[in-house]
Order: sequence, then structure tokens, then C-alpha cells
Amino acid sequence: MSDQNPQIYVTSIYTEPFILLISLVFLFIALLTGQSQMTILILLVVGMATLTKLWSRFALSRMHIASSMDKKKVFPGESLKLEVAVRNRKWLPVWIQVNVLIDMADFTSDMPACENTFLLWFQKTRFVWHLKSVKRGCFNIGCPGITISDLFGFFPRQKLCRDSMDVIVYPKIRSVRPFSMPEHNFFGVPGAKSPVQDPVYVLGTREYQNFTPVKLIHWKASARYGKLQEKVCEPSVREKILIVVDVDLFSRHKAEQDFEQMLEAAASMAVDFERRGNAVGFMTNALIKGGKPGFIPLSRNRQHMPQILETIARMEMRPVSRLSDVFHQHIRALWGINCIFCSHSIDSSIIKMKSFYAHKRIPVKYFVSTTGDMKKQTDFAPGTVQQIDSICL
Amino acid sequence: MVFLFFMEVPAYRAWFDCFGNLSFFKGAVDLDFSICFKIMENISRVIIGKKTAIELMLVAILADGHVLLEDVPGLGKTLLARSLAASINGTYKRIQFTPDLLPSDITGFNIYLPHEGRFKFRKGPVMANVLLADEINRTVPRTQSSLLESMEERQVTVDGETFLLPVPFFVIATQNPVELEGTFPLPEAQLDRFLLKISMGYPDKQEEMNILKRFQTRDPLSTLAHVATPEQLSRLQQDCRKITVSEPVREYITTLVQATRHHKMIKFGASPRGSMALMRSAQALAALDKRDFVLPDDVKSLIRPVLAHRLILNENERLRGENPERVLKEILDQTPVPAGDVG
Repeated sequence: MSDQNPQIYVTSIYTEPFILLISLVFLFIALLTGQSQMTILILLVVGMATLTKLWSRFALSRMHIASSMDKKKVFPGESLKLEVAVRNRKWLPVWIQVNVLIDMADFTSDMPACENTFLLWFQKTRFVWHLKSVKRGCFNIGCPGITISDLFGFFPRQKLCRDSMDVIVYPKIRSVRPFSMPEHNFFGVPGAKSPVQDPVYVLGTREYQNFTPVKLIHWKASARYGKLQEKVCEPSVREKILIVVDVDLFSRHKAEQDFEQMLEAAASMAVDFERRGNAVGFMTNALIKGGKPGFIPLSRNRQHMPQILETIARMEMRPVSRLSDVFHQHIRALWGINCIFCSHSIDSSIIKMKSFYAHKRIPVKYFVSTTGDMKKQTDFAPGTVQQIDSICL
Repeated sequence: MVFLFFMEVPAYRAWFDCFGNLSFFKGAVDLDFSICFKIMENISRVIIGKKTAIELMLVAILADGHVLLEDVPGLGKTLLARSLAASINGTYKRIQFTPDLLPSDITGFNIYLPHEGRFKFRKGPVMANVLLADEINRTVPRTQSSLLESMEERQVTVDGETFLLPVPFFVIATQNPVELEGTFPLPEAQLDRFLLKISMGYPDKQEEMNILKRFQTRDPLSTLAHVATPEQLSRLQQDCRKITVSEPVREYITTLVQATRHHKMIKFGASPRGSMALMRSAQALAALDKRDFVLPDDVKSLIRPVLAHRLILNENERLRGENPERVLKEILDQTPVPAGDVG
């Protein structure tokens, strides 16, 4: 953690010019009237003030402050441990107060945000907060404000450790009811429900059936069993699913709750598809906190799903561009995909997107938060538009 | 007598070791693993840098286990396997795992001889001392599973008949961890049978310059001579098991493995096969370090390559992008190392 040089002087009664002025006036009067006891008392007070001021000035030096978190990515309801370790590396004892900036709307904590203690020479201490995440988002916690002072606390000095610690709270992952996906036209998915089989991916063999093409006879297996055996093929490709979230309508209707529900559903669908072995991608026109991209290309590897979930966690209900522009920008990466389109409701912009998908021959399944005018829309084939509530368990 | 008394104290023994690795000083068991160093040196003629990877490969051979090499393409995984095979003068076979590969393409199959009216077994590539299973996750699980019996029991069963594999039998499998599209992840049972999972890692600048220099005119693999025989390796494997594993070290291994089963981030911890693998690997590492006893440091340095691929993380941890290596580090940090005379 980088300790910042600027220090903020906190007001104390001894720093008030008025009090100092009064002390000096009393000292002057005491000297003038020859009241030695009064003089000694005032000198003692002023001396102590000077001493504690010097103490306070050196209190910040050789202090080592480090903050850490055990997890930086959590699901709602999970807790994380924020730890601030402070070490006094000098002979001068200090009083220390640590104040972490936690928004109680985002996290609940078992301890107050402000904690203080005394540190003797070469002593160290740890302040631990167990924070429980409440809602999805990307939150900046940490930046502990450290107040260090002499043991009397007369001249506290403050220091801000400006290390930013982003905590990503993923959307809640729910169980998703199975739903039908539109098939690719004409050829469909090779080997699955289509007339085209891909003989490269042999799932197994079985006894030869009439009318099976000769090219599908498995000659080695036939020789072994002494009977004609044919290859049973499996799909050479798994569905590639692009999940698209259009925030435009959510933003226009200020439907924050629907937006959160849609994001939970989108994240749950992504996890579900990934578990089934599909390549999953993500696209949105929303503002992504931290300047991250809104498009995660279709892929399948160990770091891919955390990346998609992080993007969803960082999303804000504010569009930065038109969705069609984002599509055009990445159109080359979207060949052969199936699309799941999530929006607030059906309106003219969705109809426009529908014609775009039709032009690009991308099969689309629409999920909406509200089905207000949906029945009026006859442009959509039955089953292609579904309310998001219907699939979330 | 006095001398032997002093040699029983590890501190004195370590002091004597400073004077030049005299096997006479090292205890009751007289073991010679010098062939391993010749093999390592031989491989180093082809593979530049990557001392750890080569050493781990030797650990796997001495512990009679198999290796899964996982890294991005082009880092010399296949070359490492080929140079090892060339160094030990054993039979070497390579299988390029493709989606249409059948189990019989690996194990072998019975072929019908019409003029003799009988079946004849035709050996598959698995019948070799060193088997390179290249891109093992490109084939379907059915075919991947055909290696299970051969890896664990050193035999293959075809049509009810069992055939023993040559000794030693060593599988080096490679896979690319970056893109899993079009691949079939190895099942847990298969992963558990690999003693070590090794990553090669990128070479540094100097190493890369040396690679360019060495491979400029000719392929050094073509001139690599063998420095060991399968029989010698087989004997070394037997000797390696004689390396002493003291009670505290055994307890340390079991504590670590038990900790993987109770860790909150792990769904399924390491199996007893995992603890055996850790012990055998530690014995092999001790042998390569010219010791006849295992130290807790051996266990600590091997825990990641031995156990990481055997652990299955919780779903939430997986989605968080956590990896087993980090969990193992945490377990290592929390488990007290045995003190006292562990040798």
C-alpha cells in the first residue's frame, strides 16, 4: 500500500489560535504580576502542548500500514475478510484509529467502520472486518483513513491510504428451467437433429441399419465382430451461445429491479450453458465500471466464465452506445452463433434488431422482463419471445 | 563407532555432505542414481533451460508414474518427451489423439487371418516403454479411458485376454489449457492416474537466444545418444522405494492430503493414491538430491505438481477463477512442518 504524503491536520483545542492567544495573555499577566505558580502552570501546559505536538509530528513516521482482502470476487451473501495491519516501527508509542470506507448499503459488517487502539514501540496490530456482500456490483472498499496521534490524542494527524481495492460481487446464480433454442435453418446442428452427420466425431458403433450410407460403415469394428457395424456420429460442434443484454429500455423505464433480475438470469444461463460444454460469449451496450469491454468473445476455457460474470457484475444501467453498433463492431467474431437477447420489453428497437439478426441469419431467442405489448407483436415466431420469470427457478 | 554415531545426526551428516556427496557417508542404503544425472544432462542438450521440468520428469520416471504436460503450444512439450525416450533407448511410440481415435487404435486388436482360420493380436502403440499421448484431450472420453488399465496396472485386456506392457512403462500426455473448445476434458479417474502435472513455461530471453543458436543448423535431437537402458531404469525404480520416509514425514504427507479433503474451497480432495504419489515423488526427489531420506522440503516442493490436478474445486470457487495451486499454498502455509530428526 502506498502511503501518501499529504497529511491533514485535525483541529485540536491547542491548535486554536484563540486558546493559544489566551494562554500567552495569561502568561504575560502572570509574569507581570509575578505569580510564579501561575507562570509555572501555564508553562507546563504550553510545554506539554509543544511536546505532544512534536510527538504527533513524529507519530506518522516509520508506520507501516497494509490492507488486504482474502477474496476479491464474491457472490451475494458471501462474506469476505478485510484486514488492515499496522506496525509501529519506532520507539515512540502512538494512538491509532483506522476508518474504512464501507457503504452499508453494499456490505454489512460485524464491526463498526472505525476502530482505534494504542501501539507501543515496535508493536503491531491487525484490524479485521468481516464484510457480507449484499448486492451485485463492483465496489471500491478499503482506502482506510488512518488517524495517528500522541497518546493523549491532542494533535491527531490523518493519512489516507489511497490503494484502491475493487470487490466484485457477482450476480446471484439461480437454477434455470430448460428452454428451447431456435435451430439453425436448413442444416441445423450436424449430427444432432439435422440431416447432416459429421463422420469425424464417432460416438460409438452399432449394428448396421438399412439405408445407412456405406461411408458410415466402421470396417474395423465389423471385422472384429464378424458383422457389419456402422458408426454412430455425434455433433461435431456444440452450440455457440452469445448472450446479449440491451440496457437501453431498462434505462428508459428506470426498471432497476427488472434489470437486476435480468442480469441474474443472464449469468445463470451463461453458467448453465458452460456446464453443458457450450462456448459462451457476452455482449452488452451498458457502461462497464472500470472501463472494461462490453464484449466477451465466444470461447471455452477456465478463465472465461469468471470473465463473463465479472463483466455482468460491473454493468451499470446506463447505455454507452447503440447495441447495433456494438454488433457491427464485432460482426466477424459472430459467425455460426445462437443468440439469446435480453431486454426490458418489446419495442421498435427490438424489431429493428430482429431484422438485423434475420439478415445475418442468426437464430435468436428473446427474453424480456415484461410482456406488456408482446401479444400485439405478430412479427415474432411463437416461442421465440419468453418472459424471464418463466425460466428462473 | 564414534564416526557412525556422528553420521546418525543429520546436522553432522549434512556437514560431511558438503565435502562432496560421498555416498559412503549417506547411511546404510548404498544407492547410485548417477544415471539420472546423465539422462538430465542428455535432455538438456535438446531442451534449454527448464531444469525444473526435466527434474520433475525424472522424478516421475523414478517414482514409476506418468506425466501430464500442460502448457500452451510451442514450448517443447513433445520435444521433451522425445528426448527422454531417446535418452533411455527404450521403445517409443507416439499417438496423436484425434476425435476419431478408437480404443483399439491404442490398445491393439485381434485381426482375423482367413488362411489360418484364427485371430491374431496386433499390438497397439501402448506396447512401448515411453508412450507420448499428444493432445490427449482432443479425443473422446471413451478413447481416453482405454489408457486407464494400462496406466495403473501396466497391462491391457483385449477380448478377455490380458497382455503385460513392457517395463518400465511411462506415459507422457500433453494438453493445451488455453482453449477448450472442441476438446473433451480428462475425467477425474484419468487425471488421478497421472503422477505429476507439469507446466513448461516460457523461456527467458537468454534461453530463447540459446534455443535459436542450437537449432540454427541442425536438430540436436537427431544426434542424441542413449545413456540408459530400460533395465537400468527399472532397477532405479526399485532402488528409489528404499529411500527412507520417516514417521514424521509420513504424517506430514497424510496431514496435507487430509487437509485437502476438509478445505472449504475444495469439493473433492486428493485420494489415497494422491498421498502415495506424493510419498513416491518425494522419495524420487530425495534420490535426485543424493539423499537416502525424504525431507519435508521435498514434500513441500512437490505438492503442487502432484496434487493440484487431483483436486476439484467448489463450483463457486471455479466461477471465481480460483485455482487449486492457490488452495494448496494456503494448506502448506497452515500445516506445521515436522520438526526434529526427520531423516
